[in-house]
Amino acid sequence: MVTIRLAVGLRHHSDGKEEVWVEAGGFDAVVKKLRIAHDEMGMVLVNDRPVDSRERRELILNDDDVVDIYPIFGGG
Amino acid sequence: MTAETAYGGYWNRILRVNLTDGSHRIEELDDGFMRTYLGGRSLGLFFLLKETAPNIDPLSPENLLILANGALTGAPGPAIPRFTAVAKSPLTGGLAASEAGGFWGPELKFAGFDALIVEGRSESPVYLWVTNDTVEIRSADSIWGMGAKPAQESIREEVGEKRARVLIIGQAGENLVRYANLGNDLGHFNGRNGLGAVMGSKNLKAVAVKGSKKLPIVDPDTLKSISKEFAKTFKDNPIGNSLFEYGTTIGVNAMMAGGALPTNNWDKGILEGGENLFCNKYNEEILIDRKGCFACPIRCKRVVAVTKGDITVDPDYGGPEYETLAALGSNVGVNDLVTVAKANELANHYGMDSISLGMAISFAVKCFEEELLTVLDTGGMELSFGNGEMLLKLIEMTAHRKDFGDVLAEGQALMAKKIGKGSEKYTIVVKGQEVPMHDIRTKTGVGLGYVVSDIGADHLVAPHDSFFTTEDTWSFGEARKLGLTTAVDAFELTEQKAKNFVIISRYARMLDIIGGCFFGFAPRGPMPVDTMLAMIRAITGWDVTIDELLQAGDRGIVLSRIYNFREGFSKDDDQLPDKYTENMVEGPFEGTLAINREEFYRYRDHYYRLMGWNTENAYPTSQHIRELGLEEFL
Repeated sequence: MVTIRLAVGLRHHSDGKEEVWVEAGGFDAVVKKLRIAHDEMGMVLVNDRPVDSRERRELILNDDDVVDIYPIFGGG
Repeated sequence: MTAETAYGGYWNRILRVNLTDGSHRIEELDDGFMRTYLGGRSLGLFFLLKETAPNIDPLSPENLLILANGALTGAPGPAIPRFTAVAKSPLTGGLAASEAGGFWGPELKFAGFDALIVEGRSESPVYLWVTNDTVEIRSADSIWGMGAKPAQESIREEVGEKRARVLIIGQAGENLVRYANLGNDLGHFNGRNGLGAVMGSKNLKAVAVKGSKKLPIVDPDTLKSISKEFAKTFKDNPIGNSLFEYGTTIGVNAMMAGGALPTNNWDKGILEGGENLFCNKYNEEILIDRKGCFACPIRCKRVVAVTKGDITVDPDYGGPEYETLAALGSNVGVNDLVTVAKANELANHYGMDSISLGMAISFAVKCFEEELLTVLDTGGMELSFGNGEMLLKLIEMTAHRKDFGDVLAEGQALMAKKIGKGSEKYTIVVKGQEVPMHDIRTKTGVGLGYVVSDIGADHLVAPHDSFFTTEDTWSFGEARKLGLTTAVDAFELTEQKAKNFVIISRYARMLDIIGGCFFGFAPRGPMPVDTMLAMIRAITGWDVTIDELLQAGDRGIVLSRIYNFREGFSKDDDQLPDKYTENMVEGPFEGTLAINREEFYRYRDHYYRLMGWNTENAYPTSQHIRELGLEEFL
């Protein structure tokens, strides 16, 4: 399983939980399953490594991977 | 046309007050003026360019203080409450222009005016009392020396109008602190560039307004339906929901996760104990309410209350937003939420821009650490990061220019000149203004904004890069309607990024000058572009297109550049601060993301080219100035 850690601001996708576990697979499919839009995501770390927006499209998540997703923030 | 002729959303009328001789008059704008300039900063610049001589002292009676609404301000639609304060800046020596929301701008419209121009200087302290089609100049002797709240209460009592909207300076403006601000309703600010000092230099404490005129709207039914639908649906959009739930405070969490939270005068990107400033803590521990602006349902403003030990925080002064949480929190090393909330209250009470204030203090602490300042300079105070008690004391001293506060009141650039000894290398400024709390190594388009901005470093020149990194999102879909075609990652700096920035910076300027809020409209806010167009048409009756609006934004940017170059600015002032040529020091990007200056300037020059400016001198070509109908400023 893949551990998805959602930062504050995204936890409405996980019933308020900080962590959820999902089947391994493509990053896009995983966030789609959690109903997280790409609009909502700011920084994404996979095993503490930042993954930019283009890389995310091709990214395959494997068992034991830990993904941190932070909300988008843009000024003000 | 008579003085009572009205247009959809605006009056075509300005009020002019001369404080030197106590006179006032009402002037009409030419037909077509508002559609060409849209109002706000562009309206202000039009008069600043025509009516002030080059190289005046910003704190002299020769400077103008122009308070200008947008064409839409005051119409009962979402996210259009804003006005701009415009003058020559005592902080940068160039254009001062800063927008504020709240209720003051709409109230000026209800009194029958699109803008107020204040000339000259009164011999003694005064305030203005503006009501339908007229103004009185009243003595402010009894309130000079007061902070914003007691002064506002006193004015409301004196004019006998509890709901008068009051634009005011605190002691910082009176004492000509170079980054003093203007506040309205104690929680909305024309924050940057020292406009409060300009008002203080005129011996003008406040402008109170109460109007009851009905602002004409061309198609009120359509506007009503747009407003109703927006109020019902804006939270369905995650951007709108987040603004309501956390305001901008979520930025602390996001920035710290990226190692990009300005900490200790930007020496670090992660604040030890910074979790105490996170938005969830904020909501749990100090948030008691949310506030909004005129006719806007988003309610992104915070209201906090604290009683803890010796510290109480007055909810009437609102609550800290992201910029303040960082500038008066992490950037001075303070991780105690209560102390930061108190610092915010003091900044609002005394009337100071929290960004420049925090940066002046962080710079002083850095200089103290480096032994460029000693207790002999600070009046015996030991300066250190993370010292909340010191922070609160320095804020008070700065507002009163007391002892070492007199140095802090000058802002980083002038402080460095005063301190000398190579201290300049610890400043992080553009055109003399301190940078806001966004690390441009993690969003390079914001970096272009910092560098080319007309008012010095500014984070609201364009919506941030994060909204344009992938093409199949709602935000990017909306951005396509503005002309964007290709997404670019936040860290990348390419010709495409410069091209995107040209479009979105013209769009952002258009929103600023028409009275719109940065947070209201796609791609950064929840209202779709087509709805925005429909709203503009419903209010004004203009059959306007996106292209026409973008050109009005462009016209505004060019006017700014004409003004700044007249005041002696040049391409050399569009400089990247050294800090961003260093690698990130902490977090997931540690050891990476240093910006190559030469490469950055290549894309900056590409931006000039796309803007129709000469790349040699960064000035608009005569042809482009003519295309925008600005021949008279050639």
